[in-house]
Amino acid sequence: MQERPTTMDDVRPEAAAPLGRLEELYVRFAPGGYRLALLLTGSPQAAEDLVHDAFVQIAGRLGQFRTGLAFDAYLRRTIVNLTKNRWRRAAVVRRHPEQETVPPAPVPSMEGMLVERDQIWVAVLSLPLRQRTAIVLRFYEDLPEVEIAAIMRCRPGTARSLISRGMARLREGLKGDADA
Amino acid sequence: MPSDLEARVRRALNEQTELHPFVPRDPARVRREAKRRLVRNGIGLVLVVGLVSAASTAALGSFPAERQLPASPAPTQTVAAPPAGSSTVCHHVFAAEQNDGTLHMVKSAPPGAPAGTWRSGWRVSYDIAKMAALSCRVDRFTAPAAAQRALVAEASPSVHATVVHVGDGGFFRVTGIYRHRVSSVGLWWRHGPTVIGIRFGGMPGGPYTLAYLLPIARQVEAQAERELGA
Repeated sequence: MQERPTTMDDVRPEAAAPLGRLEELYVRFAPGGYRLALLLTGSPQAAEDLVHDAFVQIAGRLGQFRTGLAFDAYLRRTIVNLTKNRWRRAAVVRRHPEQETVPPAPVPSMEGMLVERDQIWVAVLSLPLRQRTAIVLRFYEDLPEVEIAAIMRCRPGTARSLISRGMARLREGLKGDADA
Repeated sequence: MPSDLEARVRRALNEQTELHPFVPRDPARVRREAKRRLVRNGIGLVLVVGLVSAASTAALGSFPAERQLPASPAPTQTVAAPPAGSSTVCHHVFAAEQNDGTLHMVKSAPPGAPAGTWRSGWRVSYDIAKMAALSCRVDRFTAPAAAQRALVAEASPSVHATVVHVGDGGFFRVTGIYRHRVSSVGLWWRHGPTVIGIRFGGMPGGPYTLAYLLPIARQVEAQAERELGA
């Protein structure tokens, strides 16, 4: 996994005007946010949009980070929330297909190459959003369950359960693929 | 110890992020959009506040004409008892709109009160712009009906004032504000164990909202406590 900055202790708000500081934060934290969004949405374009929207949304709250609160934790939470909103909107669009065109479903990269990683990636993408979010935060971001629970606004036990059920589902899905 | 599946999931996730590297957008564009969003939110907030205040003003216009009087609260504090033989003691509360738009309330010392029992009078200015002239006299030992007549007699013709009850007691305490109509406001003072209520009606320049009058009432209360409790 690529290294990325975790806190913004050295990027104090006093150092620059908030909106000017936003550019600096974008350069620093956007790549990590993008990777998380990519794993949650499965689509590079959607991930770029999500990160962009997340930064635009965070701009009004830059003052909250005076106390040393980890910026990337807040960014993660924002991205997870935006993903959830996008997911809900997509569900509504799917229910009313005559109103809008359904966005194309995320397709795994290197389609046709049934290598193992693509099998797993497809299986991850097929998980329900909450389970997928928990799995990504746990196994990509390497976050403990307490932090996952904080980001997903649930109890640690719920986060643990989501991870466990997600892994069980992955195991079954991969087993089914292998049998086929 | 991580299971085999966990390791495979980690590897698959990491490989996916490597397959699609991040192409950063122009940070200045992010800043510009953020600025636009902040401005838009600000305008939206102003509009919402404006709509809410307009709706509340409209709702106040259709307020019911009368309500039940507020219940008399329990006594909260006692002050020096009135001097002996005080059946003739009067408290005079005057309020009159001044040319500068402030309302001056003056409480005189009771006639014949022993020196040091009451201060010789207190005077408080309140910025109640455009409030109608008011002059009322409250006699603690007068029957309510008589007090009401005296009050109305002394009131400005444009003001309807009603003394609900006058009785023995210690100091004035504002217990609440009662609004009958948009242009009619009642102030309630606790006067010892009883409550004096004065309703002002026909005031031009309304409405006088609760939020507007309550701080004034609190000032009256504090001043009365300072002066009469001393």
